Order: sequence, then C-alpha cells, then structure tokens
Amino acid sequence: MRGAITNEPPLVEIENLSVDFATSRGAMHVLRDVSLTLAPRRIVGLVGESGSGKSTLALALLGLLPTNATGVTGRIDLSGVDLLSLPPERIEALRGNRIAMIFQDPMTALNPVFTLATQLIDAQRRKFPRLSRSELLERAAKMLTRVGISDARARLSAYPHQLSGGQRQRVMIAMALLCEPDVLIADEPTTALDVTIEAQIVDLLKELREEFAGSIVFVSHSLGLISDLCDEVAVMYAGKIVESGPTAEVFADPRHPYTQALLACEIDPGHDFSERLVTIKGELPDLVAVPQGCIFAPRCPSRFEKCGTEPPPLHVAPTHAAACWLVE
Amino acid sequence: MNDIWSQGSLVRYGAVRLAFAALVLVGSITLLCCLTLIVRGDPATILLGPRATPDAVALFRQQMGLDLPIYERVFVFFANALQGDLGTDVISGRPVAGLVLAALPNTMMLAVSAIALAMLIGIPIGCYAAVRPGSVADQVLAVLSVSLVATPSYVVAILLLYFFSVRLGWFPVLGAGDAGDPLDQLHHLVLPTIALAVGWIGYIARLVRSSLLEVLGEPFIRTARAYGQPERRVVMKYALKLACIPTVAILGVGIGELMGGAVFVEIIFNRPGLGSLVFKAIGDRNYPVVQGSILVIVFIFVVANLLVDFLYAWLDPRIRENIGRARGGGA
Amino acid sequence: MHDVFQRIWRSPSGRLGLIATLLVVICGIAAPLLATHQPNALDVAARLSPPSVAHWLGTDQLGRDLFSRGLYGTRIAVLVALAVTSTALVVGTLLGVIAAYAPAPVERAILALFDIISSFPSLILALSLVAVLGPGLANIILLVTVVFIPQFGRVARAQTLTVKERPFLEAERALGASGSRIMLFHVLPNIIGPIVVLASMNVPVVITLEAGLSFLGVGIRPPLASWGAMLFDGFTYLDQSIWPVLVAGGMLTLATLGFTLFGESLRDAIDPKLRREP
Repeated sequence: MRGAITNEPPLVEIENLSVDFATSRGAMHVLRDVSLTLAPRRIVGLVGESGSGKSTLALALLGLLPTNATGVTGRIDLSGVDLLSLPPERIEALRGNRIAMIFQDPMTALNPVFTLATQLIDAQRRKFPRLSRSELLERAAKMLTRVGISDARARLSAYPHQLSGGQRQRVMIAMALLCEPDVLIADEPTTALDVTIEAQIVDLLKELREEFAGSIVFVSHSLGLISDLCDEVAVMYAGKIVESGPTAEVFADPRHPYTQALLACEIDPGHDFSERLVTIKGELPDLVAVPQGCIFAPRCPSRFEKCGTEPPPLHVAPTHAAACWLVE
Repeated sequence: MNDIWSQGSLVRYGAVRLAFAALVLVGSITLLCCLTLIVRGDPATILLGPRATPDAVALFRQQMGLDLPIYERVFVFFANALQGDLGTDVISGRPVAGLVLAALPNTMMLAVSAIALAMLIGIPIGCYAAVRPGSVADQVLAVLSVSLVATPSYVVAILLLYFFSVRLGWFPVLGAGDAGDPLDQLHHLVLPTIALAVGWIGYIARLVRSSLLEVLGEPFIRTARAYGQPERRVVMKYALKLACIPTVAILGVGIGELMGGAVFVEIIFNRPGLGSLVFKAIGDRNYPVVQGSILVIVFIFVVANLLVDFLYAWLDPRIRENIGRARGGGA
Repeated sequence: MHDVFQRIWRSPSGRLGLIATLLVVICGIAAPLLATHQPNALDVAARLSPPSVAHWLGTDQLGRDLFSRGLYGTRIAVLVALAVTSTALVVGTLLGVIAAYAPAPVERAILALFDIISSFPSLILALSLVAVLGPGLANIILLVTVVFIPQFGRVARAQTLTVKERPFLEAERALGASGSRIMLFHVLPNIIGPIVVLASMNVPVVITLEAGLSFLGVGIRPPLASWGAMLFDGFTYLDQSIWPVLVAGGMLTLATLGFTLFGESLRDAIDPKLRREP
C-alpha cells in the first residue's frame, strides 16, 4: 500500500552531499551536507524558496549539474551504487532508464525542430533498446492518451510549438513515465503553468501516483501541493535540510522555526484580510560567505545563544527530524 | 496535416515566398532598365562610334528600342525574356541568351563547388570547436578563421595562382579546361574553388561554432541528456540541426556574394563564365549583354534565396507559421 | 561608453583590432608625413625591385615606391570607408525610422526598395551602377553607399519598432512631446547601438568592395593609389615580381582584419546577449 512505512532498504540514500558553484566572487555553497533517504514507492517532497538548493539537489541525482559545479562531495547511493563515483557513460546509462526527470518549464524543455514522436521514441531507447521504432511509437501513443492528450496518434507528428503549455507538460510527464524509472524527479512541474492548468496537472499526477511503481521526488515551493501529493517532506533552506519527516506530521507539528514561518505565510481561504500578511523578516544568507552557526539564526524569532553553533538534525520522533536546538 | 493549405504547411509557405520573389525580380529589372536611362551620352553614338551616320544611329536606336518610353521598354524586355530572347549582342550580333547559356555552367560549377567545399570543411571544424570550447584547437581555429574571412577572395586567388601555378606548376594557369574531359576540368577547377571557398570556410566555421554553443546551452538539450541520450546523438542530431539554421540562412546571401567573387576569380584565372562575360560587356558598353546577364544572375540569386528559404522552413517548423516574413527582411 | 572601451581592451582580439584600426587611421591621416617618397614619383630604373634600403617594400612596374603608395592607399581606403559608411548609416537609418512610423503603403514601398537593392549580389549591383555612372572616386563612394543602405535601413526599422511600443515613449507623448522630439531624443539613442555595431562590421566589407572594384579597373583609377589598383598592376606583372601584390594584398588584408576584429569586439562589448560565455 502506498504510504505505508516498510522495512525495505531505501532506494536512494543521499549522504552528506555538498555542492559548490564556482562564481566570480568565489565558491557558492549551494548544497551543504545534505542527507536524505528515499524509500521504494514513496513520494518525497522537497520544499523551499528559490535559492534553497532544491533544484540543484534534483539535478545532482541525475548527474546533470551545470559545468560550473565544483566541490561535489558526499555520496548518492542508488541500490548500492554511488552515483557520484560513476564515470559519465554509466550515469548516462541510468538516465531515462532508472531515473527520469520532469522539468519545470515545458515551453523550453522540448526540442522545437523535432516532432513529439521522435523525442518520445528517443527517450525510451535507454530503457527499451530492443524494441522497434513502431513498438516504441505505440507505447508513446498509449501513454499520451493516458496523460490526457486527445487524438494522441495525430499529435505525435506535431511539433512542440503547436501544443499549449499544459499539453506540453503532459507530454513531459508521459516521457518520464514511458521510461518506467525507479526514481522519478518532478522539478516544480506546475510552476510555469496557469493556475487552472496547474490544477489539471495536479489531478493527473494524483491519478498517476497510484499506478506508478517507483519513488517520486517532488520539488516545489508550494506547501499546498506538497501536502496534497507527498508522503514525506524535506524542508530546505539555504542549501540545508532544516526539517524532514512524514508530511502530515511535519505540517501539523512543525518544529523548525522556518517551517513554522512557511506555514504561517500560506494564505488560507479563511484569512481575515484586516490582519497583516505574515512575512519572514530578513533575507537569504550569502551563500558564498556563509555565516557561522545555524543558517536560519539571523532571521529566527526564537534564536538564543546556542544557535551560534550549527545544530544537527535532531529527532522529534523516529522519522521526524528538525535541525534546531529548540527540539531538545 | 491533411489539407495542403493548412497552417504550417511547407507548400503554402513556398507559394507565398515564390510570389514575393517574383515581385522582387520584376522590381530589380525595372530598376536596371531605368538605370540605362541615365547613361551619360547616347548609347547609340557611343557604340557605333563618332563616325556613325544619322541613319545608322536611328536604325540602331529603333532596333534597341531606345526610342520607346521607359515602361514599354521594360515590358518589351520582359516579354522577350520570357520567350528566351534576351536581346542581341551589339558587337558580335549573336543572341545574348546564347552567350549567357554558354557561360552559365562554368560559373555554376564554380559557385556550387565553392559552397560545397566551404560547408564540407567549415561545418565539421565549427562542430569540433564548439564541443571543445576554450581548447588550444579552438583558439587556433578562432584566429585562423578570422584571418581567412578578412582576406579578400581576389587576394587569395592571386596568391594561390602565384604559388601553385606560376611557381610550382601544379595547376594550370588559365581557362576552364577541355570541355570534353571532366578530369581536366576538375584540374582547372581546384584553385579557383579554393580561392572562393576560403573566406567562407572561416565564416561558416565560426557561425556553426557560436550557434552550436548557444544551442547546447538550451533547456531542451538538458532534457535530451536527462533521458540518457548518448552525447554524440545529442550533439549531432539534436543540437546540430538547430545550429545549422543560421548557416543555411546566410547561404542565400552567400551564393550572391560567391557570384560576385566569381567575377574576380574568373578574371584572375581567365575562366569563361558569367562573371567575365558581364565584366567585359561593361567595359565594351555592350548593354544588351549587360542587361541579359545581370537578369540571369539576379534570377539565379532570387531562386537560390527561395530555395534557401524553403530549406530553412523545412529545417525549422516554427518558421512555417510566419508566412509573410522574409528571412531577415522584417522586424 | 567607458566600460565598452574597457571591455574591448580586455579581450586580446579586441585589443589587436583596436590597435590595428588606430594604426590604419593614423597611416591614412599621416601618410604624407610617413611616406618616404611621393606616391607617384617614378624611378623606372628600379622598377619591380624587391625591398631595399632605398625602397622599403620594393617598387611597382613604373618604379613607384610601394611603401609610400601603400600608405597613400590607406588614405583612400579610410576615406571611402568613412564616407560610405556614414552616408549609408544616415540615409539608411532615416529611411528605416520613417518606415517604422509611416503609414503602411509608405513602409511597404521603402521595404520593397530595400528588397530590390538586396536582390542584387553586392558586387553585381556595384558593377551595374558603374556601368551607368562610370568609374572614379566620387561615383564609387555613391554607388557603394547605395549597396549598404538596406542593411542599415532594416536594422533601424526593426529597432525602432521594438522601441516604439515601450511605455516610456507613451509617457512622453502623454506629456505632450512632439513627434520629432520623441524621435530625436528618445528613439535615436535607443536604436543607435546595433546600428553603430553594424557600421563597424561593414567597414571591412566596404574596403574590400572598393578595392575589388578598383582591381577590376572600374573603381578608383591611377594615378590615385588604391590598394585594388595596385593589386591589379601587381597581378599583371606577377611573373616578374611578387612584391606589388604582397604589399597591396598584405595591407588590404591587415586593414580588413583589424577592422573586423575591432568591429566584433565592439559588438561583443555593446550587446551582452551576443557575448559568448567562456
């Protein structure tokens, strides 16, 4: 049953992952000592503001970090293999095979000069090298219908610019599902879409969630989406995971001040607009010259002296952890 | 996709561009005819000489149609041209169409080989440089290609002629070779082709390099990589097709410039061809030949541009929607 | 302005281009001062001789000093380049801006004119016009200018169309600024960038075209020292001495190279979007 905590070994284990980007001002610490576990058939949400490092984490899983990414340390373990130590051809072999990704902006994620058929067929070649072109085309047509694209067969010979944004995102989802990956990463799949289209895509994801056999990493800045779709959540801030655990628990009983602030910021339908909107004072820290101590301390309303030292993830409950001294 | 006139159809795009090109052609030739109006002095006396009798002059003017109003001249010219009559050579009395048709294959051979050579060498070089940006090879290529582009084709032609024909004797100095012997013709073709192609090799290499680099940074390339496409396929199939589009776009203009360059090369290597024909006719004030050959040159240019537009639309389906716009012509 | 200059200076090719361009311009202006001989002074005894102490770069078929003629050739090249580019820029930009603001028939007529001019390969157009007007310095400047008008016109029009719709122009209109005032003070400064870049990239093309026409004998005629004419003379006597060809061709190439490098680094410095990331 989806959502049940099993005793199976984790599918993906990220241990102490750190990534720096080389910039003109020096090394920017985009991810610092991030650890995360992804169990089979679970959906983990990564939530955080822009600049929190969540997209970088997603790209790191795929081995698609940009060329200015230096200082990559740590370990990403996929079924016993450390992805970071693999040579490029081995990682290439995993993409579109055991790991697949849905990108954020469907308008630019598809190649404008090739038909959908070509792109969908090529995407499957890693996983199904022995299938013929027509068989792959057939699978693509069926999947397009499954994700809600009408007249799929005709659509296959269309070019991306002839489709709407919502349709293109459905195609991206289809592309990912066609690979039957063990790990599916969805990097803010609805952010670039209109609200009404977003709702449709979210419904589609909910439908597909039951059928999908692998695990999903769902990256978003929307708490609402995360609570709707994900079993577990990891809250990220400035390159670190500040709180993680089962979604329901974390959102009901947030222990890290940042998570609490995030939840408070969400505008709920019953909001009384005579009250001021809640905001988080201050700004994101400089990721090049990272200040000492708890990364959230400068903006934290409850900080005290101990916050001068960086807190490790402390357990609130067996699966719920928050990196805050207040947990003690 | 069933209806031949449907949006995005290549055919519809082609038809519109064809109509537009025809209009431009008519306009160009009209301009040309108008130009002969402002020739200083009377063409008849210039050509026939100061000792020509008034009767001879009058007869000549009548034959040339110089006494007709300008719009009639243009109309007559076009009417004749469509029937294959481009006028008569004033000096030899032979039909211009014949002269042009005899000269045309030589020039086309030269132009086509030059473009083919330029693309054959330029595109792979550009690819190589784009895949290894910043490397020693890339930098050497950058310097070399700029130098090649900067050197005018006639300078290259003269230098090639000097070193390889006059000095080393590897290649013949003049002519297009024996008409019946393709190998001999090829032998005569080598240096002129290289002279014409050199500048374009550099230009194409740089163009391919910069467009390929740009395309490789696009999000959809990341998608292709994310689905495990082998790097070779990513570059050669997904990126290259798009990156070649700017190269194709300049091909049309390139053919025109090449025909201009052919004038120099034909004169320097003493090859028969449209270029040397036009040039000699201008010197002789042989207007019918000038008009006729320029009509053919412009016609070829316009047709070549049309083909290039077609190729462009075939490569990039997004263009098929923007039907009225000429490549580089509109906003 | 200042940081554009800095960016050009920082790149090696830009620096080279800037230096070469300045060198060419200086040679052109200071030719009488730098030349060792009068450009038309004959020394028939020493005709077609290689470089020597008396003639630094050798002599041509009439014994004229190649170094001095080459320097005076720089004058011609710079003069023609300047005259043609600035005239084509002004006329083309004017037509382009008018086309952007004018009613549709006028715009279409102007664009048709551009299309017709560009339907001729540039050399062929130049040759046709030469057939009509005859050779000579003034005519060459005129007809080469015509060849380049469409490019400036199209860029100017495209830029004006983009700028026209910007909100700040509406604000100006709302404040009551007149049409010409808007065009002069607000549109022009915003479109001038790409136009200047186009001008700098066209300079080497103009030089090459003029030299080519002079080479064919329909451009600038002797005794005026044009590199193209020198090249043709050299070609005629190629079997006797390669030096005239080398000097003329070399100077032509170096000037073109310098202007090309400069033009490209100017383009890269002005428009960050066009700059290629390392």
